[in-house]
Amino acid sequence: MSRVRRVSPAVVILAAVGLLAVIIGGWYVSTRNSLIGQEQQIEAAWSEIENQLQRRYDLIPNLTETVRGYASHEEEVFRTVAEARAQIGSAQGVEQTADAYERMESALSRLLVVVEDYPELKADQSFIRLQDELAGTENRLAVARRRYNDHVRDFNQAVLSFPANMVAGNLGMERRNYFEVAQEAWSTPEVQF
Amino acid sequence: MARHIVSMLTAVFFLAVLPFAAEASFPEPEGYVNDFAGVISSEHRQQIAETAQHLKEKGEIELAVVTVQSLEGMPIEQYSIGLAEAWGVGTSREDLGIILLLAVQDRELRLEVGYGLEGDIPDGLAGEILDTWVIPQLRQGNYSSAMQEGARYISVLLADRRGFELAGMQSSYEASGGGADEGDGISGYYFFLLLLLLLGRGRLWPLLFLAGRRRRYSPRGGFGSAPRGGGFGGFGGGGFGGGGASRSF
Repeated sequence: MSRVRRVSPAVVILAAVGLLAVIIGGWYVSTRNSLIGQEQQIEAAWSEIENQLQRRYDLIPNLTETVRGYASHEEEVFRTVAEARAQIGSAQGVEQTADAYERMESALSRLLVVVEDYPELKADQSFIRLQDELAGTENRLAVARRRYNDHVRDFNQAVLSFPANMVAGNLGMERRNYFEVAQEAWSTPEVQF
Repeated sequence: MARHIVSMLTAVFFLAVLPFAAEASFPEPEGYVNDFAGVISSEHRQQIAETAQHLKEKGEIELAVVTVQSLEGMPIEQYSIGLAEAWGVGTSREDLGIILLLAVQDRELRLEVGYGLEGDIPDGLAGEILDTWVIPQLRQGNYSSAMQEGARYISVLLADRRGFELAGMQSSYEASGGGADEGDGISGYYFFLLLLLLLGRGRLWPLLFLAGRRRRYSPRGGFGSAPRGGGFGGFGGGGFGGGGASRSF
C-alpha cells in the first residue's frame, strides 16, 4: 500500500500508455505478418493453377494428334481446341485465365464428344493413357482452384473485417478475385469402356 | 503480460474470421487397410497390410487401401482428395502416399497418387494399373482379390521404380494362389513391368519436363501426429494434388 502511494499518477498513466502502445504494436505486427503469410499462400496456390494449366497446354497437341489419327475430318473441333489453347497462352491475371480455362473446358468436352463416335479410338491404348493424363490434369486443376479459392476466401475475410482491415489498408492490401468458372469443376472427363 | 494479451487478441480476431468448415466428414483411418464396406477377406486384409508394412519400411511409402459403400453423393475424385487431405497418407517430408479407393455401391474406383509419387506413377500408368489389375476382378465381383491384386501390383511397381527390395513379396505372391496367371512368378512379373514402363516412358515423355514444377500443399492441421484408435498411429501427413486415375466398373 505505502509503496503504491509513492508512485505519481503521471508515471501510472505513462506506464498504461506504454503498455497500450506495446499491445497495439504487437497486434499490428502479428496481424501484418499473418496477412502477408496469407498473401503468399495465395500466390503459391495461384502458381499451382498456372502449372496445371501449362501442363494441360502441353498435353493438348498430343491428344489432338492422336484423335486426328482416327478422326481427321473433324477439323472444326481441332480448330476450337487450338484457339482455346492459344488463349491460355496469352491469358494474363486471374480473370483472363479463368476465361481461358472455361473456354478450354468446353473445347475439350466437344473433343471428347467427337471421340464417342470412334470406338477404335476409344480402345487405343495411347489414347486411353492421354485421356487419363488429361483427366488427371483436370482434377489437379480443380483441386488447385479450390485451394486457391479457399486461401482467397480466408484472406478476403481477414482483409475486410475489423480491425485487421486497418492493417490491410495501411499495407495497401485489397481483396482478391476468386478463380471462378461457370462449369462444374469436378466433372472431369471419364474413360468408359 | 503484453505478449499474452497480444496473442489472445490476435487469437480472438482470427477465430472470429475463421470460416465454418463445411466439409464432409470422413471416417478415421484404421490402418493401411480400411475396409469400411466390408468386402475384403481376412486373408487378403492380412496380405495387403503386410505388403503395405513392407512398403513403409523399405521405401517410406504409405499405401492405404480403402473400401466404402457409398461416396455420399460426391464424385469419387472429390471424395478421394478429401480423404487424402483428412488422413494425410504418406510421409510429410516427401509426400510418398498412395490410396486405392473402391466405392462398392457407386461402382467407382480411384487410385489417388501423392505428390511424391506422381513421377513414379503418372496418371496414364495409374489408369493402366486399374484397367489391368483391378477392374477385371471387380467386374467378376471379386472385390477382395481385386484390392489385394491391385495393392500388390502397386507395391511391386513402386519397389521397382524406386529401387528397393520388397522382402516377403515372393512368398506372399505365391501364397495368394488364384489369379496368378501372368507368367512364372516374380520374374515374369518384372518382365511385364519393364515392358510396361518402357512403353509408358515413350508416350509420356512430355511429363518428364513437367516433373518438379508443382508446389507443395500441406494438409491443414497436424495430421497423423495424434494416435488413432485400434493401435494405428496414423499416417504421416503427406500431401496430394489430385493426381491419379478413376474408373467406373
